[in-house]
Amino acid sequence: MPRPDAEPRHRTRGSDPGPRTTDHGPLGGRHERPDARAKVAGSTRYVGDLSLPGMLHAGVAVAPIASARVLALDTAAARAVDGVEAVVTAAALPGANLVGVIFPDQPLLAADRVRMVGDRLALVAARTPEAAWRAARLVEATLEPLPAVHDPVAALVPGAPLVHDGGNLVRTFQVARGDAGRRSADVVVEALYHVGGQEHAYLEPQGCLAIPEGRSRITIIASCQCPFYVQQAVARVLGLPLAAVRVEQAPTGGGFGGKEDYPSEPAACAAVLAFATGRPVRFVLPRELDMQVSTKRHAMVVRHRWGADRNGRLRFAEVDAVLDAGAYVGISTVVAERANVSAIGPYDVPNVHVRTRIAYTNNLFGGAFRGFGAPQVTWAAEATIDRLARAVGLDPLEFRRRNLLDDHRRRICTGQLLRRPVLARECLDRAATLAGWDEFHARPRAADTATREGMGIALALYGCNLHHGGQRLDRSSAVVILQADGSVVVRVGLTEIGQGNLVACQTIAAQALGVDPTAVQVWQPDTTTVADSGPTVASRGAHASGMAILDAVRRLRTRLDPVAAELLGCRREQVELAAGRARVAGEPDRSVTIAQVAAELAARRIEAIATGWYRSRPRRFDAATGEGEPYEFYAVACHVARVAVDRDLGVVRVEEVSAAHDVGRVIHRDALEGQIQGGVVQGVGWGTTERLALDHGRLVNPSFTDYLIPTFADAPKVNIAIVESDGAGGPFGAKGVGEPALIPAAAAVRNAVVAALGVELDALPLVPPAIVAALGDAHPFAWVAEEEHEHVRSETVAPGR
Amino acid sequence: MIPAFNYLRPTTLAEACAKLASPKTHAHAGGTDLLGCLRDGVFAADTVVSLSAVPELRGVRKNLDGGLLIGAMTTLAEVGADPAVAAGYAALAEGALAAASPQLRNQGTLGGNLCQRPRCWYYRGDFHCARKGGDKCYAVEGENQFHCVFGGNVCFYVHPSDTAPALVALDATVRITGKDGSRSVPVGQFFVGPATDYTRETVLAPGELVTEIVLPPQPPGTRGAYRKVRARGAWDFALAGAAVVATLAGGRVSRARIVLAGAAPVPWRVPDAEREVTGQRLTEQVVRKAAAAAVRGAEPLAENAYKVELLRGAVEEALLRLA
Repeated sequence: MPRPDAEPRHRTRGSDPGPRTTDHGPLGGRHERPDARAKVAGSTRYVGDLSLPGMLHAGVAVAPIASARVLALDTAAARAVDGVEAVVTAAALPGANLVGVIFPDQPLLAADRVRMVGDRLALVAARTPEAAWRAARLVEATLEPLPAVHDPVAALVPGAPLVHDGGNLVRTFQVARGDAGRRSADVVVEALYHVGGQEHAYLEPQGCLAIPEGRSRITIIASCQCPFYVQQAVARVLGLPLAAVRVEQAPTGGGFGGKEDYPSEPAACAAVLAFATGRPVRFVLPRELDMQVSTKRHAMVVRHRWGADRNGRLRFAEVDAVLDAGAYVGISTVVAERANVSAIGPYDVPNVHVRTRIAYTNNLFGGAFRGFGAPQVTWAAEATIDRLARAVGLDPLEFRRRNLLDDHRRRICTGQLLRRPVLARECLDRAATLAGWDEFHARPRAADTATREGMGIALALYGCNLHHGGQRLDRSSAVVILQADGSVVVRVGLTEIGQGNLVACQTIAAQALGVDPTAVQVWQPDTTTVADSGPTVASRGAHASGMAILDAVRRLRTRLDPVAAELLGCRREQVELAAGRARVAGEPDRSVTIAQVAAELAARRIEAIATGWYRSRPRRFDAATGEGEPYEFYAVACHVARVAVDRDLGVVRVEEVSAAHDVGRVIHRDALEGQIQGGVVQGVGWGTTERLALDHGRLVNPSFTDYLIPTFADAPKVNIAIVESDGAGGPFGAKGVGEPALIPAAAAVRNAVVAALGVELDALPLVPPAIVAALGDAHPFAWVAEEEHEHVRSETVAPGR
Repeated sequence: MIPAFNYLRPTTLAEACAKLASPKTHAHAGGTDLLGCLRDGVFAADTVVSLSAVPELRGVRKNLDGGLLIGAMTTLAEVGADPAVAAGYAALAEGALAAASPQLRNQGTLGGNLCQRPRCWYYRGDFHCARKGGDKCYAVEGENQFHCVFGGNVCFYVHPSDTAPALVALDATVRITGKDGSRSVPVGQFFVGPATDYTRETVLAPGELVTEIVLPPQPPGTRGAYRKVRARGAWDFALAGAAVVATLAGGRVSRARIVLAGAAPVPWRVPDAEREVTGQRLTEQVVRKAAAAAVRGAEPLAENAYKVELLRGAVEEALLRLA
């Protein structure tokens, strides 16, 4: 319920913006997020809160087993349920029976074949949610079970059950650099890492509302990260032109990648039902179903063979990774591209060979998740780096310092040169200082107590924005309207999903127009008001929308500045905008308010609306060799974790994480810190307690009671160091931080736990069973190499299913 | 969503028991378990009988014998915060405060905590398992990390309660009222394991209710503790746990109760471990022997052998706290 007292501070400040702004502007500050009060007060209306006259509710019948032939579907009992208005199976679809962003491998409704638990068999629309879901359960499917494959490595072995006719190997990505270095390595580490998947655990489940206009147009209000993907998916299944499909971004209660590609599926379902019934249809997934059917972070198996010389310089790195795509490709190819580039981290390695393969299985559907393939390979890389450091007898910090990329050694594995400054060393030092690394290690610690403390470090190199492979999507649209009272409307094509895009866009627009942020109202995307801006992913939201806003402001000023100059009696080149005023540069006393200028524009009927556009710089990249410039620029992150581990009880407590981030420039400090805190906690959860328990492809813990995301009792203290610099190329020099905030966290925790216990742990998450098992057959660091060319083979923990 | 049901709110115990005698009728105490089960379709209810308007079910009182009487509708938060419970029955206070989360403890009751349905993701999920009338326990060959290492038979869940092990260790009694009158059952005999009858978890007959928990006075020198091991810092069931109560005289244990949590379908008392400490001082050596005895005979499934280590550790830690 909207509270009458929720907004007045806004209005007061908005009506009198001038005196409250400073010349510096809001950039890097902490003004209140425009969406904060309503969300805290509970008055934000999410899709599940929306209702329209005559609205129906959708339900869906799904396959309970992972691999089967569909012999028959009987919907008679479902249709007989009181309140049911429509039951739709594959045969009744108006357009293409196809969802999926990249590969045409996924039907909206299974017609003859089931490939995962949760494949849709039939859709139901009914007058109540109860009737819809009851009817969905009454759809009778006759399924003939077929062999299934649940291990991605086994899936690639000839003779494995085929998930799709073309074979289980979807794609292979590779990058190689140098080759002969192996002979010069004094120490070689071989390891096999099993890195588990992760549920996004957004608080708001997937949902949308479809509102038809006859059979010719439709509006979708969707909880999503890319209204344009939803638009395309709905147009395809309904057989409509894109212009006839309007998608409005709903307030979205978290995404983390889980609402990048997946929302196209429920939206297509709701749209089909809306056209079948001619009535609005709301489709909100119950949590258990949402967790089973929506995309997950990919489980990965990563094999390593890395070598270093006795001085602690990395000589070579071989990485062979397999992603478990689940039954459909979705956007796994793009995830694998990022994993492939991220596998070496921010280290200078002369000889590199990385191979990343994608395997179909009959498991959960892998998709986008904060970090996008990078966290898994980072977890492996940072484990191996620690092994090598121990093998050559160096402190993990010192070993890293000897190998980090810097301004002089800045070529990554693809051959791309990083832009200066390269801040890996700076991030490492800042994080280590915040964590008190030296003091911690100088302090004596009892070795005979059950509780052991440990500290671990991990770094990540993050390619900002979209990979070359997704370059065609790397553009964005903005509209800026100066209202007659001096307030400003901003529309962008990228979405607020809790991460802070509204406040980032507000800050950027306010800074560029020299007004108080409260004078700027940013509106969520709507496909009828902005052009396709691609997805809100890849830590690109603030970057891409900010750049488009700056372009729009530039164009607006071509009409605003001449009017202001006239009012001020100066040349238009002399006009500057700051502190809510247009003024003569160098003569701050000669000024008028922006509101006066806006009123003048209105009086003269001058166009006070401007569009803006951004597209990423074209880059050279060879997809076959993996060489070139996969990303435009990069960010570095370093996390140091301090843990306490109970040896007897196998329980890990992450006490503190110190995070240093190379962000270019801060746009909004609260939002930035919030992203880092949230990323760390989500990474800690993935690394320690979050385990997807799969029984023949079926998730047996699809609830927050059984799937253990961190509570506040588990959240570590997060210390933050912001490393700023110029030259990043984003708005005011900002780089994205949404994903770097998560990527190294679990790896730092893993290294801390290993340091605490003195045994290697090669499977994520570090749940008590894994720790007890590792301690059970522990040979504490027995393998530290003392001879030349000693090859070290890690004993690996059996993979979870 | 929760399917519709009739909701009754009687004001007397007799009325509540009469209503509860009907089939597909469930008692509603705090509702934290019941409503979840109904929502997830674990079982169905035509009628839900709220106990919130029955006045005598709430509160902690002194008993004539010097012990305590705790109404079944007393919340876990109230039990945990009660000075008399904390002073005389530390294992119970610690168990109550170790359960769930603050929000759930404010809502969940002691009686309800004892009457929770099995915590097994196959039982709770969309699997037609033996307990729901199917022909197998999916956990045996499935995801059994959190299942039992003692007492499994046909069905392999663990009892989810953190207070029940403490109550067994305290020799507490459950007062039960039905439409034909009242009876008392020691908490240790209140629970029914699957080896006896895998279709139910307690001795409650239709129409019967837990009304009160009777805590006997504890001899001087009695101490207790509850150690819960969990993966997450809050809102998590015990991976393993131990409730221990011991009476010490002259530094030696004259009487001991050791009860495992997260180990079996019922709170699992381990007399062998109790014998190891009885007559002894609680030295590290004695405690280690007792902990080893506590897990002797465990029969882990494929993925839960780690629980044996955790149980051993929990018993050790809990006993050492009494020393």
